[in-house]
Amino acid sequence: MIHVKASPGKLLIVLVLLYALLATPWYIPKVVEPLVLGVPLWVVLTVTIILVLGYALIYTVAVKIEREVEHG
Amino acid sequence: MAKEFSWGIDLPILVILYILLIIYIGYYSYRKRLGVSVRDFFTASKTLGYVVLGFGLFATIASGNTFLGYAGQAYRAGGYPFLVVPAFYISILIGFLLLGSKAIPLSNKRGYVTPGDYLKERFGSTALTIFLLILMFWCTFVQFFEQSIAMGYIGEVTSGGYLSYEVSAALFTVAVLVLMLLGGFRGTALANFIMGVVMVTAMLGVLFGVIPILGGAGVLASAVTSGSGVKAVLAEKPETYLGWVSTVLLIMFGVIAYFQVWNFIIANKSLKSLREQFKFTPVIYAVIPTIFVILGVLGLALFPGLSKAESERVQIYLINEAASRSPAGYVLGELLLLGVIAATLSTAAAVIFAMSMTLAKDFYVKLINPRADEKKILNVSKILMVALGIFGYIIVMTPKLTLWEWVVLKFQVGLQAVAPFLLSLYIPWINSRGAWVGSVVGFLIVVGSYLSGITKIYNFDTGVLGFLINTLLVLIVSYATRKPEEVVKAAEIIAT
Repeated sequence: MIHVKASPGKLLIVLVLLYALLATPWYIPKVVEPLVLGVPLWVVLTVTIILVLGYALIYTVAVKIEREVEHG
Repeated sequence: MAKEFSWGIDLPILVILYILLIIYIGYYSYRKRLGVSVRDFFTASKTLGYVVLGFGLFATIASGNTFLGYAGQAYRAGGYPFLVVPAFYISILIGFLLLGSKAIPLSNKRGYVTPGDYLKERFGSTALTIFLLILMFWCTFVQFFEQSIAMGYIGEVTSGGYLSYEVSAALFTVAVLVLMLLGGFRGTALANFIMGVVMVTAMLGVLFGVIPILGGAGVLASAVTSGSGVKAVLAEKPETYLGWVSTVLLIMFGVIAYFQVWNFIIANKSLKSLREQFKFTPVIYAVIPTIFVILGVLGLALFPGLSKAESERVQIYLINEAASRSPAGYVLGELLLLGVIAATLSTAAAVIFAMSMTLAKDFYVKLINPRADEKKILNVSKILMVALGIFGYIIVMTPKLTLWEWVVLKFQVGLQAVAPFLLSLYIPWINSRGAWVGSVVGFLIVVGSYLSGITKIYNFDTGVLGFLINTLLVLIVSYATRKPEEVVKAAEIIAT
C-alpha cells in the first residue's frame, strides 16, 4: 500500500483521470491471433486489465479515503 | 438452428413461485421493521450488511436493458467492439465511490435521507434544489419507463408464452408494490440481494454451461473467420477511443443522478461497508457484461443475418437452442430466464421506491406541505408508489422502443445536476450562483444538441461536453462570487 497524504477529493480526481486513460486500452494491439479458448487474446487482456483496475485503483482509493475520513 | 422452443409448464410455475417469494420478502421485512419512521422505511435504519447492499445495488443497476439489450447490442456491433461494456460497468463503481465518500458520512452526521435534504441545506435554495432534483428525476424516470415496458415483454418471453404480456406485467407490478409497501427499503434491498444472487448464478451458468453446450471455444474460434459478421480486429482510430472515454465519463457520473443509487449508497452505515463491497463487486461488474459480449458473438455465429428487431431476441434464441440440445441446457436456460426477470423486477422495485421517496420527502414536503409529519410523509410515499405502479402498467401498453437509446438520453440530462451536486460535496466555496449557471448552461447544451441533431463532436458525447462546461462554470462563477460567511457555513455542513 502506497501511503500518500492527499484529500479524498484529490484522490478521486486522480482515480477518474487514471481510469479514463487506462480503461479503454488503446495500448493493446487488437488483432485476431492468438486465440485463447476461442477468444482473441486482446479480449482476454482487456477484461483482465479492467478487472485489475477495478481492484488496484478503486479498492485502493476506497481504503485510503476510509482512513482519511474515519481516522483523520 | 431453432429459434423457438416449447418450454414446459414448470417454467410459469417457477415464475409464479418467484413472485410469491418476492411478496414473502415484503412481509418478512415488514415483521423486521424497527418502528414506523422515515429513516427506517427509507434506509432500513442503516442495518443492512455490505453483502446485501453490494449484490442489491448490482441488481438495481443491471436491468432488463442489460440482460436482454446487451447481447443484442453486441450482436449488432459485431461482437467484440462491444467489449467496452465491462469498462463502462467498472466506471459505475467509481461513481459509487465519488458519491459515497461524502454522502455516507454526511448522512450519518446530519441525518440526510434524500438528495433533496442535502441540497436544500447546502445551497439554502428551494428553487435550485427542485431544479437539480428535476434533472435527476428525469434520469430516474426514464429508467422507470424502460423497466415498465420491459416488465410486460420479459414476462411474456420468460414464461414461455404461458403468461400474456398484460398478465405478466400485472403480476410483476402487484408483486413489486406489495414488496415496497410492506417492506420499505429493507424489503426492496433484501429482494434485490436475492435477485442479484440469482442473476450472478444464472450468468455463471451461462459461462460454464450454456456457452459450452452451444459449442464453446470451437464455435467462438470459427466465428472470427467464418464471415458471420464477427469483428475481432478493431480500427485503432483516435475518435473511437475519444467516444469510449466520453461514454466512460457519461456512465461514471451519470449513475450518480439515479435516486436509487443514492438510496443504496447512504444505506451503508459507514465507509467501511462501501469499501467491503469493492472486494467482490469489481469481478461481478467486469465479468457479467463480458459474458453478454460472448453471447453476442455466439449469436452471430449461430444465427447470422438477424434483423435489428430479431437481434433484440438473440439471447432468447440462444437459450432456446441450448434447451433443445440437453437437459442441462434446459435447466440453465430456465435459470437465466429467472435471472432476466430478476434484473427487471429488482430495478423496477428500486426505481419506483426511490422515486416515491424523493417525490414525497423532497417535492411534497419542500413545495407543498413543509409541516408534514413522518406518518404523513410515509403515507404520501405509499400513495405515490401505487400511483407509479399503475402509471407503469399504463406504459406497458405503449409501443416498444429500442432500449439502448434511452440509456444515453437519461444520463445526459441527469449529468447536469451531478456537476454542482458532486462539487458542492467536496468544495466549500461552491455556491448556488455557480450551481445555477453551470447546470442551466449544461442543460441548454444538452437540449440544443438534441434539437440540432449534433449529439457528438469528434465522437465525443455532447452531453459529457455539457457536463465538463457545466463543471467549469460552477467552479468559476462560485469562486468569483464567493462570500466568506457562506464558505464558513458550507465548510461546516460538508465537514466529515
